[in-house]
Amino acid sequence: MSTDLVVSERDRRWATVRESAASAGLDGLLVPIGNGSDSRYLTLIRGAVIVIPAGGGDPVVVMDQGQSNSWVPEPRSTVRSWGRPMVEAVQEAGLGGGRIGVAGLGPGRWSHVTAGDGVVTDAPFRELLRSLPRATFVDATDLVGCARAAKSAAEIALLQESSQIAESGLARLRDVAVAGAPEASLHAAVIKRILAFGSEYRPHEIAVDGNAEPQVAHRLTMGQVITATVSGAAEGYTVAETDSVIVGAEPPYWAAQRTAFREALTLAVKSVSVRSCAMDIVDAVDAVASRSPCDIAVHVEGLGIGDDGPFLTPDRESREARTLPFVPGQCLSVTLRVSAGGHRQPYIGSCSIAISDGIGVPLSDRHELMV
Amino acid sequence: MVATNRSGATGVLDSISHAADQVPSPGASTSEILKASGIIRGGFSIEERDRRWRTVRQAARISDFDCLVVPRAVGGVNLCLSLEQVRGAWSDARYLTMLEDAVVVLPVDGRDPIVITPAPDSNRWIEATRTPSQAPIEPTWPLVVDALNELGMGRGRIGVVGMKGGKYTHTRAYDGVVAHTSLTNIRSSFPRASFEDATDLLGVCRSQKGPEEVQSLALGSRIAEEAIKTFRDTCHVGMDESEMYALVMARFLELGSDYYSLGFRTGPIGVRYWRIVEPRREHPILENQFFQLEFDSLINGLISQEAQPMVFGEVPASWKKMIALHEDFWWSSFELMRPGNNLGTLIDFCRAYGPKNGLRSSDILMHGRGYGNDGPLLTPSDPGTRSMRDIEFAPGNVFVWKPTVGMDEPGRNGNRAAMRFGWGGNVVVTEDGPKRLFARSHGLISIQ
Repeated sequence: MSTDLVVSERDRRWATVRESAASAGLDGLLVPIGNGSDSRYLTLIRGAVIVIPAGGGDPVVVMDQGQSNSWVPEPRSTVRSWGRPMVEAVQEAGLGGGRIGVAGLGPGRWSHVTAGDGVVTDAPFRELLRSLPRATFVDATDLVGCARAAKSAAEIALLQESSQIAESGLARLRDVAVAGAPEASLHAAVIKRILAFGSEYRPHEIAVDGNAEPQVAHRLTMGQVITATVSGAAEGYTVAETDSVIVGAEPPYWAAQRTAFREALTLAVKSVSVRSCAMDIVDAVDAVASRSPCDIAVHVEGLGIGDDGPFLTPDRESREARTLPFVPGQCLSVTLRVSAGGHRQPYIGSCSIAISDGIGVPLSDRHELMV
Repeated sequence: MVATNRSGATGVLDSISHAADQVPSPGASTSEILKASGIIRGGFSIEERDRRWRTVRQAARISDFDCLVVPRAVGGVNLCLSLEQVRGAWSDARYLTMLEDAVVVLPVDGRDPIVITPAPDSNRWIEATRTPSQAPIEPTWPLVVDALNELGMGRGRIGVVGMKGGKYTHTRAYDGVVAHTSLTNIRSSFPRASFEDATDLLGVCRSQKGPEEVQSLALGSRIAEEAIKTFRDTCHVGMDESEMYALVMARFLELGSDYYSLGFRTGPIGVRYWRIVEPRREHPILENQFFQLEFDSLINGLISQEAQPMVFGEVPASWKKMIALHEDFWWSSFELMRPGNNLGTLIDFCRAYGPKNGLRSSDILMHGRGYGNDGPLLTPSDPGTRSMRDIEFAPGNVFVWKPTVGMDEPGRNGNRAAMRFGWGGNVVVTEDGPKRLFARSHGLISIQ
């Protein structure tokens, strides 16, 4: 990968969550085992536990089987059991009787947005509760989530790299999606391109005429519509890009859908700023849809190291997700589904956006938007 | 058993042994393998679903449970302890429903299971799932509470799958995989019910595969061997590791496997290195670089593995004797995997083989194959002393059998063997004894 996350980035993150914990009246923050995305944010390792005292003491990190890295050169070590090491880490941080914020107990507004049941593993956390009866534990998912949402320049650079990798995968798809090609070869070609960039693997989806279950031996025929969602992941920072291609010549309805898509996406990107929220994106798209012959549905998702907010889908929406203001550095993906109606396949495409210098800026130049 | 509901059905799979043979031969072309993938990877039959549910209910009844619950597990994106564990996090629901990220409430009295998913889902086995009104952002546990009430489990004895690591499944997740908030709310809603761990109850059922599962795993082995050929025939000194990785993974997908990361250790021959499971850029392959590779394929959710070492150069003369002894070790230990024998027999044999044959070490290395994080897991550092010895081999068990041997390099002494060699692949235990699901010859592949 071209961008390294240096130790100063670690210090920035630790300082931010420490400060937030103190402001929230907490004695410290715990990212328990199970909460891999927050632990990766704070330690670069998904399978780790970190305890950060709000008062300024050194964080205590536990990793599996002697792992270490540049951010945490000397962690405490465990061999696959996490309950007792987690108790000891909290005690070592001087929080055995404290008020401790726990990240991942429930879904958050900025992160773990679809984790309705939380992401904390039960058995070790119960051991912690049993072992530290004087401590109190409260949900602090948003405390880390808010820090994660406001991305640094280094994080945005990683997301930009991921976007470019995903775009490259889509470009490859456009090259190989020809009549006669087996569906399995599309998956192979896209993955080959992405991995050659050194990207971490993320599940991709290639739907042929709306069917996302691969029919591996099936061969493409003229007129079929392929919609692909392809991800790049640099250092865990994941961007999924979506595009639709048609095998063979484009029929007139397809061009109309693309025109509506382009117009709606341009306004959607323009609507993103540090003063706006997801509802502004929906409004911008609705304005285009109201004068277009096509139906347009919008899906908004945060970008980062996993399950980032806001999360807004056309049929399932939360008022809070719609109105939560964007923060500087926040990155998101807008996906539009444009349908001319009837039995015709919709055009589905996406654009990834970073809020930089107060305004929304596309992470890639695929759409040549007028912003 | 007839493998129904598959276009171009593969016919009658009347035994595990027969099922293992119902895949393309080693000489098959890409299109022949792809055609077989297209048929086999269509999912499992209703008969297979009913076999699993029947087996699990029967085991639960014997253990006096009224109901089994597979609660919401922390997914592999967040609970990430190893590659296998990541895939294993949702494996129980996958086994019972062929769905990802599902919650299952299975009464033992024969009533249909209630399946809950964070977002609407269905397949051939499950016509419809229950879903929170604000899917996927709301929790699933209130629907589990509703389901248990509906089934009359207010005072029931309820088995919870995945509460802790088991001997047969979740073997690397010692603390289990269940989400704390979900289980806590379910428990507190039923103060008169009892909740007990049932990880091994379901795990045993999962470990005894039916013919359709064995056929999928056999196809997985065949595809993995094709990926080995791709590595052997196209990778070369100077190629970047990320390009090698991309070539191999593309071959898996081209032949109909779903994605499962290539895992390997690499470095100069004779040196130990950390395990790598993602592509690395700017790491060109060097002369005499050694790769200990695990080629895993994924067919119908089941993971197959073929372990194959390769070296970009000549096999050192000092290694040849060790490799020959490994072949004898592999075959003679393999023969012990038959119904009636237990793991203790195998453990003792492995331990004794090395000293008898002039080796520094002869270590067991195996684990179950299935939907992810399958056991028993026996490794050189944990060779099955934790109550594994009494586990008996049973028809339908599928393991990756890849024991290792170590020798001292001539002229060098140390606490650990300087040269180590491991090799192996998928094996199935049949009524008549063990059977390989792969076909390639034993050895260290030399690429020059």
